[in-house]
Amino acid sequence: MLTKEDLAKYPFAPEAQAFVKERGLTIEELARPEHRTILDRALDRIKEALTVGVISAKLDELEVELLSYPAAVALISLSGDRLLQSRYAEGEAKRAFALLKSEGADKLAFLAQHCFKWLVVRSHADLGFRSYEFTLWWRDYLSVSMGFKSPHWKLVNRALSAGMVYLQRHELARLMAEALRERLIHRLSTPPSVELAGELKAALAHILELSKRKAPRQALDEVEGMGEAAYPPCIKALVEDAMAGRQLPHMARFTLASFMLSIGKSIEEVVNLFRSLPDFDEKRTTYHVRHIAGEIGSRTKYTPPSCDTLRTFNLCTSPDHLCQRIRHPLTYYKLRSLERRGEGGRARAEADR
Amino acid sequence: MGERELRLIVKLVKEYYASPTCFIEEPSELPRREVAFMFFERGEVLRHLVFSSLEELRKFLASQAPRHVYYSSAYYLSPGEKDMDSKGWLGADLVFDIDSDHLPTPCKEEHDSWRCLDCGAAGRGLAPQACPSCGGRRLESESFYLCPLCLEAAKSELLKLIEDFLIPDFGFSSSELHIAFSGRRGYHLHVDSEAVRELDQYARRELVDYLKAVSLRPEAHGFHASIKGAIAPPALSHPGWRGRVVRGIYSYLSSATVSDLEALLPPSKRRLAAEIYESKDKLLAVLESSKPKWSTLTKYGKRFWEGLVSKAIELQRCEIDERVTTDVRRLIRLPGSLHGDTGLIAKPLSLRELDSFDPLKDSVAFREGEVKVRVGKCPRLTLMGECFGPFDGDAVTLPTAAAFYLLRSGLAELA
Repeated sequence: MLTKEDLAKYPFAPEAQAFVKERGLTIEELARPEHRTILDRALDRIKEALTVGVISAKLDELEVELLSYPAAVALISLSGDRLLQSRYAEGEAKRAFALLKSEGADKLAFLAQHCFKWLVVRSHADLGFRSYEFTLWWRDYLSVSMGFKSPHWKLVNRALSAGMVYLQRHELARLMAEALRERLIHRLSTPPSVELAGELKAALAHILELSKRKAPRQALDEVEGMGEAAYPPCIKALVEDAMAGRQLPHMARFTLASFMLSIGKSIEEVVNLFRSLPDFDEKRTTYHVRHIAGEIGSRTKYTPPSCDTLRTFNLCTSPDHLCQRIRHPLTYYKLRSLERRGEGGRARAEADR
Repeated sequence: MGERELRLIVKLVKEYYASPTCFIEEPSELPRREVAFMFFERGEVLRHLVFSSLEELRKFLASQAPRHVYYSSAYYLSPGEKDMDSKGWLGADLVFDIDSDHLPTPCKEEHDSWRCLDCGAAGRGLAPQACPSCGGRRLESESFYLCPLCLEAAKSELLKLIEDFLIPDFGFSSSELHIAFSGRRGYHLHVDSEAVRELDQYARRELVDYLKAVSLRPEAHGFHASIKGAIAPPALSHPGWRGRVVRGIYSYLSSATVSDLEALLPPSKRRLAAEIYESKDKLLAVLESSKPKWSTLTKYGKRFWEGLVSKAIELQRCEIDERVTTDVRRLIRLPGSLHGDTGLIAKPLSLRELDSFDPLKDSVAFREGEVKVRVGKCPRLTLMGECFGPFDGDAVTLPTAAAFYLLRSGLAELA
């Protein structure tokens, strides 16, 4: 059912991979003059991902377009550069999205079943003014939708019936692109075991240089905190409750303790926060806080729950405008801290990322 | 509980587990699960045990007479490892817990009470957020369980979960759903299906949010400001939350009083409440259409409309305990085992049996004999279709089941 053009468009399809395997092109052979066009296109793909953010679809030489994909994937995974890998995956996902959303409905459904093993059914349901051409099994839906931030993608905001989620064409295309991105991220993190030499080594060095120039960002976790004024509303509320000696549910205590530990408070400081609680017991509280800090027990240092989790547990209280842009209370704290230091511009830029 | 009482309780529990009437449903893949116990004589939990067969587990129960028996919803490679990270998580059943504690029943006034630890003020019903007399927030609440009304409310909530959500929306079949009475305040529902085993905590949270309507945006289901002009507006029969909100509006309107309606209107429009109440039948008829004319309701203003939609969502959402469902390593009471604080069996039930199931009759473990006890101050207790009490320091002879409950609640001692 898939043509050669389809394979060039969707090099992640199983047939495309079979084709590549049959050609038996190794990464070392890429440096040979007869494969020059493939290597060049592979490098182009990477540059496009780094500069424009989207990889184009060049469908004049189908075989080159198809073979340049595994070549680029091999180079990127050999780079070992996480940021580069995620940008490349993003670029391929956007390329796929643009192509997929203009496919016919039957072809799109076929690709979803075929490339991602999803249970997709063509449908003709109209709800309101929207018409839904597809339904997707809720499990397959959740396997990718949770990566999206917009509330539009939350299951509770979808039409769901008999286990199937109603989808419009562009939505199914978007889910497939996201599934591709995740698959690529996973694949790129396990490089093939080859040593690059000569021209290929130089090409890789060039890519790494380009990637470095594009990403001189300070990591969020290097920011020095600014104390109470930078706490997100949910944490402020929990601190107030704790000070007022209100009974707090388990999840609230965990959130408060893990947040305070994450921003560098000591075990004693955190234990003191709980002192006014009606059932305060110094020994037990210390034990639990040390556990969360990773000093005892499983030795896992826990981070506070994400905004989504806090919402589920009804602990998200009076979110402000910054909350709209973040999905984790620690991010809020770090951005506010940056802002307070007069670096507001960058804080906003970070949040929009 | 004193020595004598303890001896009696342990003897009764041993007898139960040794009797042929004790039916324990074998959990699927028992050897892959962690089993845990609590005992009457000591406080700590005995965890990380593995049983290779139901027979072995039954022998343990009959010889040790545990107070509580739990098993993990999770399947592990090595369930007996003490370190959770070394167990090798393979998957977990999807579990729901419905607890009447979280359901607003009118009888809470009767059997729940609270006391302020700061000023000593006390009251009945669910504890308020702050003490009404001193404003303190250190409140202690107390509750006398085994309330038939609360258990009935939990049962309807469970039926709502199954019949309004899991079957129609998620497409589960009733054969995948295993129900069990929790032994005290509510019900557990185990979904034992390959389709859910590998769901991680985040995916389970999406399910919880769906059921509890967390972050639900009415406009995503067609309930936006321009609904009055919509060509294909939401209707009763629509799938998912779209139809469910319409059904919620329908049922809210049909039972609303004039003062309920007033509360949805701004002060300047309060007088409209009577008009809406009068035209109730007409409004409901409009909603029954396949293309309801929503302008009949939106014309009462934005505040009324939005209030009505949020009331509808409140009515329709399902009160499950999110902590249980999102925890992929949860220990849950073993269906068929005894709840050591009530003497009731955590009885496994089929969907068909649920309808006529009366937990205070059908899950009573100790059906024979009588015990002479002295009962302190305590409200009326309903068990096996009979009422006992209220008591106030009386010495009485009670059926074993009632005596067990009162002894375990610390409300009675052997006379």
